[in-house]
Amino acid sequence: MERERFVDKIALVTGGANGLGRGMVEQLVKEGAQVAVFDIEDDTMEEAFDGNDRVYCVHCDVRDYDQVQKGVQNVIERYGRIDVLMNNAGIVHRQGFLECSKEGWLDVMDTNLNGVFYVGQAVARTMVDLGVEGCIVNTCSNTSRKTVAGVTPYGPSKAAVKMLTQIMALELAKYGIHVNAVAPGTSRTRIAAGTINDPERSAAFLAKMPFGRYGEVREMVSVALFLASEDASFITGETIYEEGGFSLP
Amino acid sequence: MPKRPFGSDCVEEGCIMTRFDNKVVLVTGAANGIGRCMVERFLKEGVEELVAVDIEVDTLEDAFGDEERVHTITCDVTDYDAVHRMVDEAVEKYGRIDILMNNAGICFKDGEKYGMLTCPKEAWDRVVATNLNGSFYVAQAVAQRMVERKTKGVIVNTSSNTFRFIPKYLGAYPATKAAISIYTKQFAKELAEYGIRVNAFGPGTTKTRMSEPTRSNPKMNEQFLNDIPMHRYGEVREAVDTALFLASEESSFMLGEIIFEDGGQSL
Repeated sequence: MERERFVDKIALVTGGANGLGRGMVEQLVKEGAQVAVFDIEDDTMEEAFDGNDRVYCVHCDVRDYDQVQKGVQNVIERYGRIDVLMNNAGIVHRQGFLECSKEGWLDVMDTNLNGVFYVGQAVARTMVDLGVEGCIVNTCSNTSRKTVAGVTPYGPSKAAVKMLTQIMALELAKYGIHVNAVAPGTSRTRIAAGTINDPERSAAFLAKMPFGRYGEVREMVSVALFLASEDASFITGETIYEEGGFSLP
Repeated sequence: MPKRPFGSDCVEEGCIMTRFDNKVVLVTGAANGIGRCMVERFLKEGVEELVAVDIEVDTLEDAFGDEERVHTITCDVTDYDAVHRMVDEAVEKYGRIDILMNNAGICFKDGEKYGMLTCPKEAWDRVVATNLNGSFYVAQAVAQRMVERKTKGVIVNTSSNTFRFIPKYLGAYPATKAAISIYTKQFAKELAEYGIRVNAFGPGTTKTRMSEPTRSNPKMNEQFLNDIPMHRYGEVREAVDTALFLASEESSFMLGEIIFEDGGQSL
């Protein structure tokens, strides 16, 4: 069922070296796009995409406003424009509310919220300047609506991404730019390895999943790419949950 | 932006689409609007057999009477027994139903006539009978056959954005569509153990017969367009793109969700 929805498109994927981001890069390339990748894990990024002439790796820490401006400028210099932004870089900090350190809190907010704002704004400005009617897909999470203990700053950072998505959609609609978010549940990635690899936690978790299984990277990527494609051309400001019914009220 | 790589333009370009190869699909409300476009798109995307259901027998026959892969059935979804006869006929003919597009729905519009102060009982009851009870009868009847035959099927309910963005004078319509979004979650939770996925999509104002009174009234037209950040109405094919995404394996980890597809109208 391979389709080619992104032929001649220029995409930027942040957090593209691992997990869902890496899945997005691979699928975008398969469907015809040129993809720029932002990540801070240079070795993983090079190893993943070494020798792939459809992928351009850029070291960029999305927490750093100036690096983001420079990184986006690099991509524009190389490809002339950005059609699709997968605004995906994110981290988790595993501390409960009473223990949560200031550093842990700020690191998650810097990456998951400020990073999405910095990259989103910098890329949207290029879209407006260049008249690109582009697509932005932010990576949210089902913790934006499901209350999960033990990862204090994560849910709030993702809830903020959901609202930021709506604000971006509202203000960018007049330029023909769509903004949506994908909100995965627990997928088989490194960020969830702590749960997946602990038999006791995993069993307790899966018992609460209507489908009784974790999500596959491919399943999250297919929702994210649906939102980035022309199939979703009248959808804007939405957060699409992709989580096997875990947080159904 | 390059032209759409697939979709309504695609047949002219000779693309081959295979998302629905070998699937048996049942579409209610298939004679007009979004339902009719669903049938056309499924046929383009390789569906094996399709059952097209509507109460408007002439329109249905005109649309699909000559189409080999389509079996048309006339059915009033408000009639519980007729719904079960219809579903039995479909299953007898094709052996199973893989995908249900539970789409039949009605709406009354006429200025303020169907406002909450004035809505006649008959109009309220008829909308509830069709949109809520009728769509439940169909979903339940099809889900029962899926479970009996161990079909790991998919159900896509047609909801609406009107219960998030509440336009005036639509009588029972927004309330019934809100109810559909809730029973979508009830079905999703209870059918997950059988491997059946249930989701819904919520189109905004789409260029169909149903929205004609809104679009042709200059005052309402202006007001609606001002409320839509994308400042245009949805194309039927855009609603169908979302519905078919939910019917396809692309959404295989989505359960009990509603995707609003409304140009930002309900933000």
